[in-house]
Amino acid sequence: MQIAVTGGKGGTGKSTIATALALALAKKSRVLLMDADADCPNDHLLLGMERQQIKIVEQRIPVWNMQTCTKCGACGPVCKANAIVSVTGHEPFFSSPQCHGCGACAHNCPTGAISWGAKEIGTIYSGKSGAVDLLSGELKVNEPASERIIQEMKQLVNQKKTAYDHVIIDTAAGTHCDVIAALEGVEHVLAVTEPTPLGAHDLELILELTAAMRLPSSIIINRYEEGRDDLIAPVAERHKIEIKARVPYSEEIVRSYARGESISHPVIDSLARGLDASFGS
Amino acid sequence: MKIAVSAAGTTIEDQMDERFGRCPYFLLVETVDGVIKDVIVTPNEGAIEGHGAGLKAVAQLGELGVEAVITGNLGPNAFNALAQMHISAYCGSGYATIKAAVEALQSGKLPEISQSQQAHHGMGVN
Repeated sequence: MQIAVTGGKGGTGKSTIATALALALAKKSRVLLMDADADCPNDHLLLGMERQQIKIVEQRIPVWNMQTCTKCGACGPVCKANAIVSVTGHEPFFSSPQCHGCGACAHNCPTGAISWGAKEIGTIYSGKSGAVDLLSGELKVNEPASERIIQEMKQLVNQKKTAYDHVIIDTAAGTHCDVIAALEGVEHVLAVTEPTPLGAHDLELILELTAAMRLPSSIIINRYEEGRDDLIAPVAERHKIEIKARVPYSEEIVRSYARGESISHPVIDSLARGLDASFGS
Repeated sequence: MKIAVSAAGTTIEDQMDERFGRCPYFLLVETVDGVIKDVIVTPNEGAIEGHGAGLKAVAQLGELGVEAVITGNLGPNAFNALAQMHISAYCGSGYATIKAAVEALQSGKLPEISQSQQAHHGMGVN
C-alpha cells in the first residue's frame, strides 16, 4: 500500500509520525519511506542515517536557436514566471532560475526556434535504517519546481514497488503543487494535525484538497490532550472523516524530537497494526 | 531620446524611486536636443509580480522603445536584461526631482550603472 502523511499546517508532527509509523510497520513488513518535503527534508535526521546520492534531478529549460529565431517577441509575454524578456528586434533574454519548464514559450514560438536543454534542480538520496529504506528528495535553493523532485521520486518508487509491502510518503506542509504531487495515486491519506485553532484551520484546507482529489483520508491528532476534542472533532464530523489515532502530548516525545530522534508510542504501534490489517499485502 | 525614469509619483516634479522593478510608475520622457518635449506616465507592470518584477519591467520598457533608464538600483536580472535590449541605465540618486535627474542626464552628469545591486524581493512594497 501507499500511504501519505500530510496535514496542511507545518510543525504538526508529520515527519515524526511518518518515521515512527515506518519503524512500527517495519517490525513485520518491508517498508519504504519517501521524504517528499523536498524544500526541507528531515526524515534522514530523525532516522539517524547517512544519505547516499542516487540521482540528480533536472528540469527542462528553453534553448533558442538563433538561426531560426526571428526576434518576434512572442516568447516573453506568455512566460508566467517572468523568466523571459523578449522585445521585438532583440535576442530574447532568459533567466534560468525563474523557469518552471512549463513550455509555453516553445508552444508559442511561430518558427519552432525553441528546443529543450536542462538545468539541475535537486538531488534524490537513498538511505537505510534497520528495516526502513528511505528515499529523500532535496530541491536546490532558489529553484521553484519542487514537484519535479517528487515526481521523479515517485517514478523510482514505482520501479521498486514489488520490493516493499508499504510505502509511506511524508509530504511537505501546505496544499501546493509539491503536496499534490506527493498525494497523487496514494491509497490512503493520514492528515496529521494538532488540537489548536491553527491546526484545525489548516486541516480543513488539506481535507478539501484530499476530497477534491478523491483520496480516502483519516485524521491523526498529535500532541493530543485528554478530553480536548472541541477543535478537531467538529472538522472531522463536517468532512465525515475518521479520527484514526490520537497521539498524546508527552514530554518524552518532545525530548526525542528535540534530540532529532525518532519516537515510538503504543498509539503508533496500534495504528501500524490497523493499517497493516486494512492495507497489508 | 526616449528615457524611462523609475518614479515614486506621476509627474516630473515628483521624486525618482530608487527601485527599478518595484517602482509604482515609469515616467517616459522624450527629449529632443536635450530639451524635454513630452512626458507620459505608465504604471510599472512589474510592481505587482510575485517574482521576476525587474524582467517584466524591462520587457515593458523595451516594447515602448525606451533607449535609456534612470533609476537607483538594478537587480542582476534587470541589469543583464537591459544590456541585452541595448537600453543604457543611469543612476539618478541624489536629485530632488525626476526633472532634475533628466536634465543631469542630458548634460552628461549622470553616471552609468555599471554593475547590479542586490535585488528587491517581495510583492509591491518594500
